[in-house]
Amino acid sequence: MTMTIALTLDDACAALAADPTATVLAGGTDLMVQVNRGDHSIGNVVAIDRVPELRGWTREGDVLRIGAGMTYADMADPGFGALAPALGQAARTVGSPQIRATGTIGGNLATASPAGDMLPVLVALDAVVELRSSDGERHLPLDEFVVGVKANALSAGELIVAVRVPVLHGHQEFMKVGPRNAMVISVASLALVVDPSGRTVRVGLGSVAPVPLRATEAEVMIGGRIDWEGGRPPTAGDADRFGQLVADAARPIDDHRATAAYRRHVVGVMARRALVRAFGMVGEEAA
Amino acid sequence: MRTDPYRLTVNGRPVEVVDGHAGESLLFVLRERLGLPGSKNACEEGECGSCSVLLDGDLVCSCLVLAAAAADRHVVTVEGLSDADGEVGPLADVQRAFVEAGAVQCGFCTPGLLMAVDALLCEEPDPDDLTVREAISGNLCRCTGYGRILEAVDRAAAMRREARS
Amino acid sequence: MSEVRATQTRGRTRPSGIGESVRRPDAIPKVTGAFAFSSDLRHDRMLWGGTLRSPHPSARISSIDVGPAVAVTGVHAVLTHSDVPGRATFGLEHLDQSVLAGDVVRYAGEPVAIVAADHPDTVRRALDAIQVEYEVTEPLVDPSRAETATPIHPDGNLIRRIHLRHGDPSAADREGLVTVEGTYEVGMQDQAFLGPESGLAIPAADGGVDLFVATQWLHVDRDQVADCLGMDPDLVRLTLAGVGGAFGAREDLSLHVHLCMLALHTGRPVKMVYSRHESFHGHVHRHPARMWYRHHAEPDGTLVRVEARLLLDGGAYASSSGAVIANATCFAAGPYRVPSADIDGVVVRTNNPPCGAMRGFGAVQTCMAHEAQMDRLATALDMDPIDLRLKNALAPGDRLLTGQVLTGTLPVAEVIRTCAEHPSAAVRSDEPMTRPGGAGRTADADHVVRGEALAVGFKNLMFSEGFDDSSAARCELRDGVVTITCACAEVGQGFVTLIGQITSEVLGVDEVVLAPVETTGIGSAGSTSASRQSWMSGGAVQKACEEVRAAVVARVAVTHDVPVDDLVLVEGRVESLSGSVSVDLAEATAEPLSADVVYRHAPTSPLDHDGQGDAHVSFAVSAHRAIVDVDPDLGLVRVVELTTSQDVGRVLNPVQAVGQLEGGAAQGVGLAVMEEVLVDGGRIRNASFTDYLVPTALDMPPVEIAALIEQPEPGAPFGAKGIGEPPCISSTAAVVGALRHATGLELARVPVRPADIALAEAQAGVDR
Repeated sequence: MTMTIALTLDDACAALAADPTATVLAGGTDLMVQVNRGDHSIGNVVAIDRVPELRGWTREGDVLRIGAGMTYADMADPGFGALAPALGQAARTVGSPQIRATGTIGGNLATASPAGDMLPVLVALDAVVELRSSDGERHLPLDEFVVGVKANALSAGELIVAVRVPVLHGHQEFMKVGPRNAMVISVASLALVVDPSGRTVRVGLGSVAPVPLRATEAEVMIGGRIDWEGGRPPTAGDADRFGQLVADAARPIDDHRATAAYRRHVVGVMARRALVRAFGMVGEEAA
Repeated sequence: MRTDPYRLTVNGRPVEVVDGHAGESLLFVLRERLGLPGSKNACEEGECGSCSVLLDGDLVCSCLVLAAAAADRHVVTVEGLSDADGEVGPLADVQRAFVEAGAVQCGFCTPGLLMAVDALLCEEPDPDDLTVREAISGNLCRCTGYGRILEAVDRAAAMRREARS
Repeated sequence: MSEVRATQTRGRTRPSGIGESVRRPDAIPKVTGAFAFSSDLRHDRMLWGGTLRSPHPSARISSIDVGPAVAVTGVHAVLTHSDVPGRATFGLEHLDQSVLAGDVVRYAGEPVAIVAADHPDTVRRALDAIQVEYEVTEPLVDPSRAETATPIHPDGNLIRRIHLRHGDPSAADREGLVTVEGTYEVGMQDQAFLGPESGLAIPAADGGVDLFVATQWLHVDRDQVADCLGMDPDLVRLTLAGVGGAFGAREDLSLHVHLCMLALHTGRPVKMVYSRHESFHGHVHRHPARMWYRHHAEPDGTLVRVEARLLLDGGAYASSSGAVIANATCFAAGPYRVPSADIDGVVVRTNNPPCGAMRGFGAVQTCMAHEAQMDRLATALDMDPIDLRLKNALAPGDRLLTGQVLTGTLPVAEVIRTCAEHPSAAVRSDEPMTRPGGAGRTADADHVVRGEALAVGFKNLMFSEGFDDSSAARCELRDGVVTITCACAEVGQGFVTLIGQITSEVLGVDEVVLAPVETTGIGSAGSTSASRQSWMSGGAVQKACEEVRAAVVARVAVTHDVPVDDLVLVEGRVESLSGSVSVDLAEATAEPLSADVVYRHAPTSPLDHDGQGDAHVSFAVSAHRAIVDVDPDLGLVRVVELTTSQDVGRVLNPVQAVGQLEGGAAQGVGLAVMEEVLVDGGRIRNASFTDYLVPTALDMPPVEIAALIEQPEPGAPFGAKGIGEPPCISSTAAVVGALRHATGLELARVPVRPADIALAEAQAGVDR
């Protein structure tokens, strides 16, 4: 078993080119669970948690480029949170302080779990995933990267290096439902991001489909109802309809964590609440 | 499959692992190869915090760290919190606080909690109740209900304040 | 290093007396990481052990081929049922469970084969290589069908029925009574102790075996192991290794016989540690229960009659189910005067995971139900729920459902009042993290409603129904140093501290040596369960110390020619009250003294055909008041505050008492809102801490202790009652009661799941 502890991105890509079947290891918070259980046999490993090019974030105009090696703990940085509030909120809900110290956004993408906490936010932000191998680079929109339950579009020898999201100057919300107040796998989650200049409200849903979803019909409906000029809040009727459309967009299943009926219900509730947080509401009391 | 030999610094001492198996977690290596069973194995899937150590200063679950990938890093375990060698020697403030507050029952969660509390107080010397609870939310305790543990954190914070003044 | 590091509870402690918050003697090793839990044991020449378990809840085994496993390099042994040297079966009440399954498996997780190899990875590969051919059969998974279904075991599907009939059966056959009825369900809770099942077995030169293991009851383990190994009990020597919590799950055998078989077969020490996934399959769980109740009362709230049918699912093997259903039945109506009752309590066998002892032992399930009934009744009577409870509260001199008259203390009314009247410190915080949903940020302040409820529960302390329970202890005093030998299993509860306090109290010493806890050279201390050890083993240690005290005093009386009555032991000296004599205890005991005692409690009787009899030694009552915040649209819950009062007899160690009350309450909260072993078609779906959720520090509220009611219990050493179980009995009922108060929903099942609230609310909204 060869352990390559990469110190540069080129090292990492070269090691992967030499053995495309090698395990790529960053935080290890998903992989090691399987290794400890005996479900995954470790062969050669390329450890990428010490590659500086993969850590940190940069702002290039109105694009935020997030290094794949950025940990959830890193995302507590207020500067980062100001640029991507929903990502910062989502990061705080992942696992425990111990998990947040080593788990990475790249890992969340690679694992591509339907319950991945970053993914609803990334899909709402129309994130683009940067991939690199020794053969070159390619960029994939999120919905072409996460292709199924725990299935991603990585080719052999390819590495996630960064994910790009737009810096939107509007309200952002992330909410997550789980049956305990800490350390929970999400039963349903929702990201709502407002793009005032684009005059859109985007909604990303997690744990209610094999992959993170956009609630497109709901987005279109509410985008047309928001008073972008005057700032008058949406009505209770708008909020109800919006919640219903978001719930309808969900494609949840029954599993040991929750039923489809519950998941669909809470997605609708979260949507309505997120909208009211973003815009306020006129009409009957926010419920 | 075996790993090539690799080195770690554990509790300030350099160690070499020469006969590691691929796939061994840092927790396994600490407990079974390095004679440091203080870190515990309650779940080995990152859900209980009983294996918590400091890795280059960060509080992590050692069960989720591939030992060979931690080569050349600095690890601090519960055994490294004090100069205590077994039962004698001075205890760290967090250790004393846990003893005095009655925060130890079966003790299985204790090492992981001590690491989490030590890390918290280094970061945040005067944490409020909610901050403490969030900081230890990754450490399960089945015996205490966390009441005496929170008391111990208050005591340890007071001890540190005292030591600073 | 070829030594085995045994448990660190052996050591010196500097105690002081009863009633003081003396520190535990094992606290320092536990905080330095030096304390040796059973999973920390090592031996230079040791092999690792592992277990192959049935994936099917019900199947016949057609064949087992271990050849491919034996062939794996590094494997030293692969053993099956035909390798069991002695009795093929074991069990606490009935010897109904196989050491290793031979022809049939009855639950998913049942052990089929065991392996010893040079590394845990090798063990895994060997287990994967064992070929077992199963003929899968339809599992019996519905307990309500068990009694009429084809027996899944030669002993039949009915493990035990108790039909309790008390008082006048026609008491409710009249006009003018208020009647309420309900059906309740309690899901399967797990003890979820943190220290995994683990141990080390070392084959001995005399052909026997030394087993270091975490357990609750050494001698009963030893006897079962010896039987299964076909050995004399003297050849099987158990030593208690450090225990990482128990809560009932270590009362049955788990890996004990397996480890010994592997050690004896290979001639090497063998260590085994269960993974968490395996642990969920490797021990018994709390019995899930379905309970129907009907309460009849006068319009003024006086209870007239209670009828109930209790169905507990015992799973595949009997374990201690018989005792659990007895408890559930005896305490089915709660700590209230019930002049007439008909309680049918049944525990059945199914192909679900086996159930047995868990803290609270049957009373947890019925408390949830009887407290729900009392609240239902209060509503029907338009009466305050606390007044209703006070009106019917049991008191000494009253008769229980079993006909037994309460001759000891039972301050039900005081417990209720002090709890109810204790001021609440609960505030409404602006901090979003404190709302239901926590970091998930799902609720704003106006999405949250608050509820409050009080619940009361009681149960027996110690073993019942005529069980001849005892505990043995030895006190040795030499050169002023006391050594106590007692096989009481320390599982975290703090008995090791109490030993020092007792010796300090009786012998006036400030130092005591605790001998290792083992089966050699001392008799059984009984089980660490049933809230019995302070009474039984505390009583044994006290008795042994008193005999030694008497011997010291007698000796000094002779040598110094003073009356025996004039002498006291204080602060390491023997002194006369008259002041004429003062002898250093070390001097007086240069010639050693010792006493070996066996302590027994007053005998109890069996329950007769109608569930009547003086079956219990003593009882304890507790109350909890819960304040909860609920987000009804999402069904998320935050327990804001718990307040409790408990009947303790006498506080032996205040800080340890608080620890028991807080910890038990956490388990009660867990059962109320998040803990359930999900079993589907006989298979556990959530055998991990990812999905078996226990409360974190963000889920547990502060536990306010309103009152520790000290009414000394006659016959109990120091007047003290066991305190371990009540905290997890009334806490669940209080939390779910508060949820009902907040939501207006029936919530007849625990754990209450978010969907139980959210979807009922949504339906109610639609219906409106």
